[in-house]
Amino acid sequence: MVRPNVQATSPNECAEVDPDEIQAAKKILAALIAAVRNYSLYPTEHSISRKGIQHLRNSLSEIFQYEDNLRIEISKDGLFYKKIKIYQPPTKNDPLVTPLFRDGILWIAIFEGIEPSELELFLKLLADTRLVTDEAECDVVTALWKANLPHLRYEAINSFWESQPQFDFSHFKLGPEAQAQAKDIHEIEPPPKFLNDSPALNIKKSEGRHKFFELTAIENQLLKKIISKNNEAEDIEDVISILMILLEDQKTETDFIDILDFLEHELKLILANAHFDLTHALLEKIKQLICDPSGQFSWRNKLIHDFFFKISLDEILEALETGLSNLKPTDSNQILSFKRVMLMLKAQAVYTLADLLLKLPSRTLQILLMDIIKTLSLQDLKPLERLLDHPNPLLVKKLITILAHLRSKRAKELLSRLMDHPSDEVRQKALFWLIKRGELPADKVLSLIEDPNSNVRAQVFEQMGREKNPIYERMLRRYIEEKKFRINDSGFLMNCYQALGKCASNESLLFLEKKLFPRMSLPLVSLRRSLHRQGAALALIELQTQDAKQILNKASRCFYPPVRRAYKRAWEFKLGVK
Amino acid sequence: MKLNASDKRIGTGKLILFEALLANFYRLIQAVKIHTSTNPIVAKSLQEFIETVHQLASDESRLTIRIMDGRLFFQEEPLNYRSENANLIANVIQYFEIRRLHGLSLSTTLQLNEHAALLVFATLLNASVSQDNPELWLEQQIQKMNFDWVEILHEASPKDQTAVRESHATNRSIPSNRSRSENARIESGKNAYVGTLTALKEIATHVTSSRPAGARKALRTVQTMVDLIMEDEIVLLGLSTIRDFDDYTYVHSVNVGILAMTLGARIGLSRESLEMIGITGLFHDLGKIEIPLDIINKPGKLTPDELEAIQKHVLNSVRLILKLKAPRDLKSKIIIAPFEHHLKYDLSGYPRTNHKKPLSLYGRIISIADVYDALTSPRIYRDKEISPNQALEIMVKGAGTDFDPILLKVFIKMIGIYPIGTLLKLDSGEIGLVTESSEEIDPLRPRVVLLESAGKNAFKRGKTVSLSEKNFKSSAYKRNIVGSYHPCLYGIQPAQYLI
Repeated sequence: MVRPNVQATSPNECAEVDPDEIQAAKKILAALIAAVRNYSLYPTEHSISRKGIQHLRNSLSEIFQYEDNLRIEISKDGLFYKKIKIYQPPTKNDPLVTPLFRDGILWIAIFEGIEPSELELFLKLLADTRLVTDEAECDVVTALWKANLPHLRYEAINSFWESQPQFDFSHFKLGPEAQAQAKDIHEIEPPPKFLNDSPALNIKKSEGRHKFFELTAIENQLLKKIISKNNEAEDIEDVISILMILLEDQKTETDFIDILDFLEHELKLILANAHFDLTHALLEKIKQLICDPSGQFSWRNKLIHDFFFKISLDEILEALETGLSNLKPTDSNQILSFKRVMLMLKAQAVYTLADLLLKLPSRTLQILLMDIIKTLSLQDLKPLERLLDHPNPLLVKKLITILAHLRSKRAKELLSRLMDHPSDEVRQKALFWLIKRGELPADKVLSLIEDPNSNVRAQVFEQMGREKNPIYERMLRRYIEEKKFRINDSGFLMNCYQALGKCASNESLLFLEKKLFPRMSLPLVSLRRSLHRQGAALALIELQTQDAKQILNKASRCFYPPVRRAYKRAWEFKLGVK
Repeated sequence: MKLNASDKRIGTGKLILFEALLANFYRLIQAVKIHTSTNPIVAKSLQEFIETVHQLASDESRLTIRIMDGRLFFQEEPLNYRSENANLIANVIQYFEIRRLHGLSLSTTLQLNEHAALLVFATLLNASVSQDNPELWLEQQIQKMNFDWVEILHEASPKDQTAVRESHATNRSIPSNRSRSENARIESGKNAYVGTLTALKEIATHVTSSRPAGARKALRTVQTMVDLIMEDEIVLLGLSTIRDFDDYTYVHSVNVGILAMTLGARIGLSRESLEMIGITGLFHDLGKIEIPLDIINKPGKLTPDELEAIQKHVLNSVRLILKLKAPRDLKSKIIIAPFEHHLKYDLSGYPRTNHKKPLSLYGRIISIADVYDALTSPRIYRDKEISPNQALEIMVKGAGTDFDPILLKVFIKMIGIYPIGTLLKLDSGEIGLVTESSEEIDPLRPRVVLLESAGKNAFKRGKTVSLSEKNFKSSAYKRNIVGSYHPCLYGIQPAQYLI
């Protein structure tokens, strides 16, 4: 069909149309074009897109004062309303004229009563089909047909052929032999036995022929059932099983890749629908294709490996968010299938699974995911390692728990590295696990006792003071000796002395005695010195050796009041008396 | 009665309602024709029809449909329907013309509790086709039933007719005995047929040369076919009788698509499902393009290797469908039936699988359409051509094993015991091609277009007659069938005479 030209109206006819009506039509087009642009740029839920729809609706209400529909005729040069050109595309790639003309739309009419949802669909399909290549998947016309919008009508021609294919019976040949052997009309043979009383069709003249091909009530019911099953049924299982048969049959790399590509998409669907049994069966079958004793299809191995890599990426696994929300934590079979599927993936899956850890409210599922992440991380720790830099401390904390269960040098290193994490919670969690694993690195301890977070510091002091430890003892002695404490660091200093006392041996007695008792070379009254004196007394209390007790006894009876006072305050500190 | 022939413009809103009323009316009579009164499709059609009547009730106390000179008058005014409804209007006109009815008038006070009465009336309307004087018979029935809400219209007076003819002369430029809308519908059908065929061939060319092949064109033409089938299946069913030796696979695929969509429409599938099944039909044999033609056209028995190559086309079709540039969701939906189309209802056939589930609905439909078209296509390896009704006989033997028995029943009801395109020899010495199954009257007495000899192996289209026509005096049938044949035996391309 050839596109007819839109005949612009003569000035006389033009005069018959109310100028306000023309203005209203122009306004709608401006709103429509703006709305299509917005739909191409922003998501449908975006406020700009929504505003565009609202503006378009308002504009449409104006034209409906004149007509019950807005019918726009489309030409290459512009858009016409009542034969009057109301829009001239400013560029060759106009968001409205170009796709409508390209796809053969002759006219399009929007009727009064159009629902916002219809407008949204219309705009979306215009935006989606704006750029259509020669071999594109759909166009405006096919999309409009599918959308079947009740308040939108259009007429289209087939515009994709330069010249419309012509129907001509002479193009259809019955075949050289059929033509040559065609019998003369008068040579028709006597009739073969046929349907008048055909036993096959079981039609007897005496029977009600009208009714023979009427479906019985039961058949009607059965048919209804088949149709409703067809409407409701998920074909995915059948599709997967066909694709597997097809995959197995492929002899060339290109075809094999094509089918694997398609399977990726299907996999996403089955994951979203929580068909984990099916997914597992599918992946198992694909893996089986690696085993090729003949070696004829060894090229499959790399392709299958790549396939498993691809399906371990977020692009596919993001479907799990929907799938897992449909998964009942009490359904142990499904849980098991899910776990089996996940364990067949590559470690890259950890990125998506970790993301899901934050999204899933079910504790059972969270534990399951953590277990899967742990196992996948045994393959390759890198994804988990990268995720430790995630800005959300909640996730990092969960990952620390997983990491803590990995007995590897790298896991220990990563946990130690986390002691520099900006989040207090993360450092605490990492410290907790380092301590629990007995892997708190000595070289980190001094920096940790200066951690800005008091809980971390307390944890470190507690850890240091848990048992006699000559390393910590020397470390703390040296620290106390060298560190320039400020007056307001009294609590911290007490903690240092207390930890020292707990981890120390008699080797520190001399150091503590020196700190406790006055030296003639130094002024007796000094606030800083009195703090050290008090700390030393506290360390001696915690040391609990006979020698320590003797020194304390000496201090309690010392001539110098500051020493006695230090002794007294140390006990008060120890006993928590202010 | 005076016909108002003025060019008063009906508002578009009202026009839509009028068209909706006609659409619902047509849907209702078709549904009643096909289904029993308890069928939900019938109930839905009835409900929608009554709703439209009520919508019009505020402005009109009676609704009048009149057919005159191949045009439809609504409320005694020519209906300037929109072009997209041309097929619908043509169908309504044809419906009345076949029954020699001039129109009817319906009260808008029709109540919901008159559902049953409306159903009876729709059944009577359908049944009137077999009456010698349908108009009179209908009037008698209406009187008997006490249906005071409906009136059968008589032929307009010559004076009124002249007035109308003059005022609409400019609109009647087609001199044929067909109404303009019928011609438009046929043109639309032909365009869709050749468009689909071209699109399919383009896809095949692209696929064989490993170029990307988009399904957009095929989708577009299939959508047009769905619209045509939903309004009137007869044109496309007529076109589905086209046979082509050289391009067998392509023509066969288009025909299977048409037959499958029509069967789908008969069982009440949605337009989206019909689109899917149409595309499925179109692509079900795509894999055959990879089979060497000398195997496809081999006259003798195939070797095991050749047989394997033929059977491989099923998987090849699926593979090639996956390669199409089409939405993935669409491809997922259309691969099952091509995979299943050589699997039988009892799951025998090929490809051999561990498949234990029953075949899909689309698979069952495509299988019926595929076998019917294949059996009725002249093939070089076949000793003797099988006439369409013989093909049905063969298929009926496979009901329940090869084919879904219920769908096969619907299929036979759809195309008739003497399917459209069957060549019949009549005891009158005439030969005719079946144009339509007269299932309402007698499935064994279809309507036929008579073929008149125009030299050796040449024919011209004669008049269309119903084999139910009886001799007025003797009450005997005017024509009886003495034989049925495959039209190809006589070099006849049925569609050429049917549309």
